[in-house]
Amino acid sequence: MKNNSAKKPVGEPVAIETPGADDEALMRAIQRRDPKALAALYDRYAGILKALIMRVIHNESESDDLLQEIFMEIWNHAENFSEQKGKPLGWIVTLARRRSIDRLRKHQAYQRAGERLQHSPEQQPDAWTHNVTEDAIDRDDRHAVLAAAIRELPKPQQQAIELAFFKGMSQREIAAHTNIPLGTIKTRLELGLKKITEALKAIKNEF
Amino acid sequence: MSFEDFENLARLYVVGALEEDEMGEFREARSGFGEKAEEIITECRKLNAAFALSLHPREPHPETKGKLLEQIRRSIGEGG
Repeated sequence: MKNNSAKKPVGEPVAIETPGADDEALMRAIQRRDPKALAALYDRYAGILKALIMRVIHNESESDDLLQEIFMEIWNHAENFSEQKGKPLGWIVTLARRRSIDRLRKHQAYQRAGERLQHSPEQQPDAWTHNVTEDAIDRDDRHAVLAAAIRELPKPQQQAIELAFFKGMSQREIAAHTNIPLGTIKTRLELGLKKITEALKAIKNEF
Repeated sequence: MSFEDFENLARLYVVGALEEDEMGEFREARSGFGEKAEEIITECRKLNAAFALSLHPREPHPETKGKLLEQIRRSIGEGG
């Protein structure tokens, strides 16, 4: 990985209590080059990002390597985050998703992943149903609301979102992959994303 | 393009599912709707976090955090 941190000054010691700090405060501290803030961000989101990476590339050890690379990228490019453009988690997830899909394509595993999609229970269009446990619902209200919202989507909409978001497929690629007309795929994506957007409004904690 | 149509495109845009031919249309509408468009795009960006949060978290390898912090420590050292 390219290391461009040498160009950046190391900031003054940070006076925030990282474990209790909100995401924005952690990002500002990371922008000031505070490693404790990155460690706190890692503690908060490494599990979620690992799940995201695994969902895309399906390789445990490679997921851990990529997780490390993604947090290094957060460290090296934290200045690109702007609070005006959204919350830190959205920025972090966007970065992690892009890197995961890049990795998937780099290893020319696209086709193999597609085959696994058809054979692995975790990768069925109803994967969200199987990924959600009652324990998880109890632990995280946001997780519960979002997983339920996705579970309640018709299966074809879930599948279209799965292929677009976790496999990085374009609408045309999804249409070709599923042998379904492009217009139908577009409609499924639009309807599914609209319903998830509506569900987000029910969540009290911003993210 | 109606604003509702733009919202549909904005959601596809933030999840990276806009086709090339839709991108031009999207950019033009984005420019036309101005600040209102930017607000909706910011709202739509929450979709990315939403999909990640919908997954059951996976435990990272116990050594990964240590390796990361060591890599950062070295990078800070190299930077002076």
